[in-house]
Amino acid sequence: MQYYKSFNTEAMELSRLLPEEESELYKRHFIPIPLEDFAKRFSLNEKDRNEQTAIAAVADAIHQNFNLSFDLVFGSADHRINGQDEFIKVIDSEKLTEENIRGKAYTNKDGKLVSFIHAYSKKVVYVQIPEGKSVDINVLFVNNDAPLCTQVLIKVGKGAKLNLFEWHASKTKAKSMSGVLHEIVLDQYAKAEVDMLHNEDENTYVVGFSKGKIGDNGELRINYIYNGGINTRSKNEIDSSGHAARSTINEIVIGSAGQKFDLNTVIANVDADTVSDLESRAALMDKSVCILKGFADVGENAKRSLSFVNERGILLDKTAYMSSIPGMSIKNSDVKATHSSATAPIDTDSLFYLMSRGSDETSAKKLLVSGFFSGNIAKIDSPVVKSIVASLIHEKINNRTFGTVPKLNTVGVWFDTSADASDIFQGHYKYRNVKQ
Amino acid sequence: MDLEIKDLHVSTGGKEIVKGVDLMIKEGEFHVIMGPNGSGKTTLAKAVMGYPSLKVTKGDINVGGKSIKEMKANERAKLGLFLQFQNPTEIEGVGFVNFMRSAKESLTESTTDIKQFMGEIRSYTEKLAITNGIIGRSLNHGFSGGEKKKAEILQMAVLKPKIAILDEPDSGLDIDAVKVVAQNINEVAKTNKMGLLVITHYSRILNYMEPEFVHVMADGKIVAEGGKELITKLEKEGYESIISGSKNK
Repeated sequence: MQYYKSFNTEAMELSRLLPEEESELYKRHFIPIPLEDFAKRFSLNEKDRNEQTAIAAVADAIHQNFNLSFDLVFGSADHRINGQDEFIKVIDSEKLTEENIRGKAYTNKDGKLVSFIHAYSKKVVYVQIPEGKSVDINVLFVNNDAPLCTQVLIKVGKGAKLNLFEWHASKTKAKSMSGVLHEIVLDQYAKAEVDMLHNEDENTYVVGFSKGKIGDNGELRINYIYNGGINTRSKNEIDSSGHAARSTINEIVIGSAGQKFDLNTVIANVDADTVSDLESRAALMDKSVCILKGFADVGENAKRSLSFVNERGILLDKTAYMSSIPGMSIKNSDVKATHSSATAPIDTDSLFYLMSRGSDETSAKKLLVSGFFSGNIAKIDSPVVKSIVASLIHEKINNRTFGTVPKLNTVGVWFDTSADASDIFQGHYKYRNVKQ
Repeated sequence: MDLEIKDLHVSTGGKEIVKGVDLMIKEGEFHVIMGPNGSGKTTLAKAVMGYPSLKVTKGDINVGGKSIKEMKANERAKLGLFLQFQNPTEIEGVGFVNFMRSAKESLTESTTDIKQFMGEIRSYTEKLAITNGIIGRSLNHGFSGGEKKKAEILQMAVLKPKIAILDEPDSGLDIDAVKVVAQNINEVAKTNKMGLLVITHYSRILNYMEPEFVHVMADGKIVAEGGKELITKLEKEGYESIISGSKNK
């Protein structure tokens, strides 16, 4: 509980003002979330009477598709812990009201979103892995018309290891919001991989905030998979705070049917010998829009650190739009830091090559997009999550659908894992074979 | 199955590259097109396979008596056509085996027996002496020039087309590799009674092969035709002599 209280204060840092946010470039490339629409509809006491049935239906469908069980199934007004209760708890949040949240100072556009999630978070998911333990946890979040605003606190003790898979789903009849605040704290030598799959339906607005702090020699890997939701805004700040801490942030975006994604991720090298890697890739079609704002913040004490911001986009048709704005701020001269960005339509020569071997256009595109994401998929540790992500990519290109759990062909999907995920600078000519 | 090219004219970017080619390749026949750089050989090969930016302005391409001019590349492949690319595209992230499986399943419209399929790939990897292997590598990505050519022949061997067009299968290969590739082409073509059209500048790969029909192409047209003796003549006299000889006729 003490930890949670401290989080409430620290959460304000989620919306700290970064210089680049006030730039005209960021302002021009901004997708707003109309909070007013949600505030009118939701009350703190709202509960959907059918929620239990709906949550069970989503959980069952996922189980049938992937033979995947969840240790925690979490809905707007109800939850169930099925296992790992030694390490995962659901605790009551403080009685926050919109009024007292609004009373606090917010410095930027995202502040309103943070306050909204705080205001509608009734429960807090608390994952705590004690020193030396190694734990795998699967969590399903289901939004069923009531707003699902959740705070997830993750604390991994010294030398402990956590693999956390979060599936964010929704089954809604009207416009709804799925908001989640993460705070992730890794002690020294702790390791964590957090896989966040957003597969909400077409009525759902997705809002995500993550704040991570990594202690000495700790390693944090976050795989964000954005497949669902009509409109997504995320703000993530991951600090490699301790000596030789490492963060690997992996963002996969697959957009169709007018979906919009506005992703702002900051990786910060705070201490010496730290490594921060942000790789964002988006494949877009059908009037979908993606704005990637990756930023490496290299601090004064971050000598001998490595930072890499890599943003790539592939446009599957002429109606899709992408804007990538990689940025850096470097305050120490003894560092290696680089950023890169490239967006292009699907390569016609590659498409012709594959089609000349018999693949129809859709199958050829599936292969190319799977190949495009293969490096990201290789970074995911869990074979089950790899399979899910590969299947969702295929499903989206085949049917352009998202949200409801489709009958996915997980057996028939092959994905290439030959990409070497260990070398974070593999994509950049300057730092290939850098000894880390 | 026959491939019939009738008075084919092909343009790209408003410029005519192929200026009226007639060619008939029947099942089991072995044809060679030779010619200097820029004579339109590769454009002809790509046009037969349906490369999107090439425009057929006149003439036709028939397979089994039916025009394929309006067909997409995958539809042509399903009819049994195969193009070995001069410069195969590198596609990072797409595993070679995954790609091959997808191609095989598309062509046969059936699922693959994985064990048998992998066995076949391994077998041809050995036969073609692809020393670094194929399995676990991205499609043509990081392949040497020789590996790319061998990988193309491996694809032909596994996919078993009815008519294969091989665009410079010998370029980028060392002396030993030329022999290995030629022997494998011979074996695959013979086993599958494949119609073969080899495009090349040089006669060296043909020292290990037995072409029946030799065509010389220059300035978008076929300017001379004959049997294997034409290759010997070209070796002795060069392209210029044959081309100018044809103009004087």
